Amino acid sequence: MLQVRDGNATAFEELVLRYQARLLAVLEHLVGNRETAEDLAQEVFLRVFRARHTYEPGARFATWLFTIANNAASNARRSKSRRKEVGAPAPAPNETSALSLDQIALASSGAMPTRVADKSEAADVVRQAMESLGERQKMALLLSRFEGMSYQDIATTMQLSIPAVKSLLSRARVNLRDLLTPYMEHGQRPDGNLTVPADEGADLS
Amino acid sequence: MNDGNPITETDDPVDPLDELLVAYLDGELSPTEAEGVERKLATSEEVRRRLHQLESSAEMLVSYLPRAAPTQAFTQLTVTLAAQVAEQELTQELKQEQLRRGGWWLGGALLAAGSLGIGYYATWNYLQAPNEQLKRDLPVIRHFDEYRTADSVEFLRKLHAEGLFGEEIEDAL
Repeated sequence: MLQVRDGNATAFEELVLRYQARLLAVLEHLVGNRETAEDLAQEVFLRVFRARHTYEPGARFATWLFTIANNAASNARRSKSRRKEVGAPAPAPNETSALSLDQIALASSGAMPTRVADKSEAADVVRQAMESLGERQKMALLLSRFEGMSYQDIATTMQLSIPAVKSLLSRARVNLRDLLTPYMEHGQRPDGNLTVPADEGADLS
Repeated sequence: MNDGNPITETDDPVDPLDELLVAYLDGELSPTEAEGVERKLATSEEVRRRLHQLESSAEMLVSYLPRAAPTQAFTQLTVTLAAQVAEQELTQELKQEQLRRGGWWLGGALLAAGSLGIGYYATWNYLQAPNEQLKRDLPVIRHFDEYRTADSVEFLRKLHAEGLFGEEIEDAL
């Protein structure tokens, strides 16, 4: 980042290559849509680039990057809410990469031509569980589990106090447990449908 | 069980034991707190079960939540957009530099015009000064012969103190 700050053109490309997968993974699950996540990730990288002269070497770059990402995602959510308020049509179901509850139920029921494999099914269940969480719980969880951030770093990134992060994360983890344990133990999906028990399909332990 | 509706951020407070177990799994407890949790784990099947469920669900999240790899097009587009930003910044800087230079020229011109004005005014005042002095001295000049008859300034002041001078003479004094 220091090289980017000092005007090294190739350093920015290296920075994008190093962080794009991590940033996209968090944003994709945060907004539930690959295309929007890519747009947001690009916006985040461009904000980083524009703000390169203000970067302080003492700050951890990942924390700075995800703080910008969190703000960008919040702004996008607010804009989306405003668009909804003024009556703009909601995106069509096929515009989102995440499956709807009906689609997931259909897939697991065997009505689809090719029944999703166990691993794919588990992925759908997890994605569905994630989508059920509140936005801040999702962000805290993604930063904790995907980025391995400490509570301190999550607090900095999300502009919260450490006790607030602790509370947010524990609530998210308890919600996740309540949503996933029935599937892990009895093959019961978060939408209430029974499916192949986990111990007969994917190894989830 | 969740019925498909999003879980809100204002759910009921979490059970303190769960909060403790989550912090324990995340390595965010002090050694003393961690020892306390380990004692509970050693003695309670229920605590072990809760910990296992929390751990398994978090592991499932990491293992099964898909993470699609970014495409090369994404990287290229991002770098291209950054290059455009850099170009815009450069253009903006050049414009500002031109404005700064223009500002210096304008400032210089205004300073020169101001100096010229002040110089003209000062010169005009200087040229007018002898006439102004003559105007101020006019009453004295008019009564110059009478003043010559007075022997001393002290005598004239006494006369003035007694109110014997007319306005013109007072002006001259």
